[in-house]
Amino acid sequence: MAASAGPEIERLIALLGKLPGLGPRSARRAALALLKRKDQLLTPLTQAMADAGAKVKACSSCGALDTSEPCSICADHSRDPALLCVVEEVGGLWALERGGAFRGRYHVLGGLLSALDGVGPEALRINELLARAGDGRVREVILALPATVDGQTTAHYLSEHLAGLGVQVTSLARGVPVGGELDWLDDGTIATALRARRPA
Amino acid sequence: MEWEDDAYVLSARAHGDSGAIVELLTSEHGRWAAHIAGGASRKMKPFLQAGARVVAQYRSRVSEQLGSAVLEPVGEGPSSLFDDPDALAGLSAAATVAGAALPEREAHPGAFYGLEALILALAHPDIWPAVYVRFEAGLLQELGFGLDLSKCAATGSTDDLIYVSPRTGRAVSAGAGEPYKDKLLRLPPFLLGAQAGLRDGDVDSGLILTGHFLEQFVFGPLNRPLPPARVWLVDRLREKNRL
Repeated sequence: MAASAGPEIERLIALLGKLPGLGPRSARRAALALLKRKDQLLTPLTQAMADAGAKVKACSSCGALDTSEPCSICADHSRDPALLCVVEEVGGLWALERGGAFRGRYHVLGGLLSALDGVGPEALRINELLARAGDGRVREVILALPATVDGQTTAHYLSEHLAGLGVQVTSLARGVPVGGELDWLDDGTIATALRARRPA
Repeated sequence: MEWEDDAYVLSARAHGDSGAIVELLTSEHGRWAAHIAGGASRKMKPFLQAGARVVAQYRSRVSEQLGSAVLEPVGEGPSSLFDDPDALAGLSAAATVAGAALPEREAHPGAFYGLEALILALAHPDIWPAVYVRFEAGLLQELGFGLDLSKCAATGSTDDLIYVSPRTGRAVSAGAGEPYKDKLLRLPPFLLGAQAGLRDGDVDSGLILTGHFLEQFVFGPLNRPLPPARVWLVDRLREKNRL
């Protein structure tokens, strides 16, 4: 048991247990695996975490996490500066990058407007977005925000405030996902897909 | 403890990696929180949002503790409102006010049916702000602070009721209220009957009226302000000249 393993191991287990996907039991297994493979896992992981802690920062322009300033996406001249994709968090940016379908730049809002939690516009990186969108280089702002009440409330708020800046504002389509079978979809998705139908 | 009931989702929060804690407004059991196993899954997420209509099967071993629920979605849910920012603001305000005002585990069927009427009305932009005011008036009624609009508090007359006393919530007629009209709240006719119709400023008066009593009787004693969602809704409607 951890109680007899010494305070260092206990602390390691407790910290690992705070990570997403890990509970107390899986944290214990992870700690054991790290300690068993010190040279292959524990030491490199310690080094990688120290490096990440020291070097990774939020990009002052887009809010993405990177070791360089500006981040590698903002600094990449092959990307189209006229396209700006707005995402809720860095996870959304990574998801879009994984797909490789988008070659513009990003803006990480840092959350969503939330009536329930009282999160207002001042808590998000909205002023920074408006400044970027209004700098004359951006042609289109793509709102890649969640299809939830808060996500769409935020999208409407942004589109209203971007309206006067002379940029086109678009949002991601909502409907049947690739590989989705109709009889497995919820009523909301089917109804939304029907409303968004287009000529075949 | 076990029950099955019709419900609307008021809010949902992630709990752990795969679960969620959901707050429901049920038809027979009132406001109730429950753990939803697998609430973070792609299958469950679409209806774990404010305004989603569900059938909830609730179960707990000890009645005082948080139990778990299985939710079956009914109908399309809030996605039908995604293209209407005003309606989204109305939905958020209603869910937040109901969640903050209603005590937990106390049956308030009137609040459930009031919310249902509002959610159905949200698809009709011309009428829903007035239905929202009626929803809040109904909520006050459910909480025991209902407005008494049946007759004039001063004269007993049932005619010309155009004011409400900010202290008692009772109607006041035009004649009796004239000397105090600056201190009285305006009573919009649509709160007296559905046939009264809507004029400019009526919804504004209604929101001022219900907001006053929500603050005075419900949120004030809890030392809390009106929920931000409600403030944002009023600001938004005012900004759009929809009051």
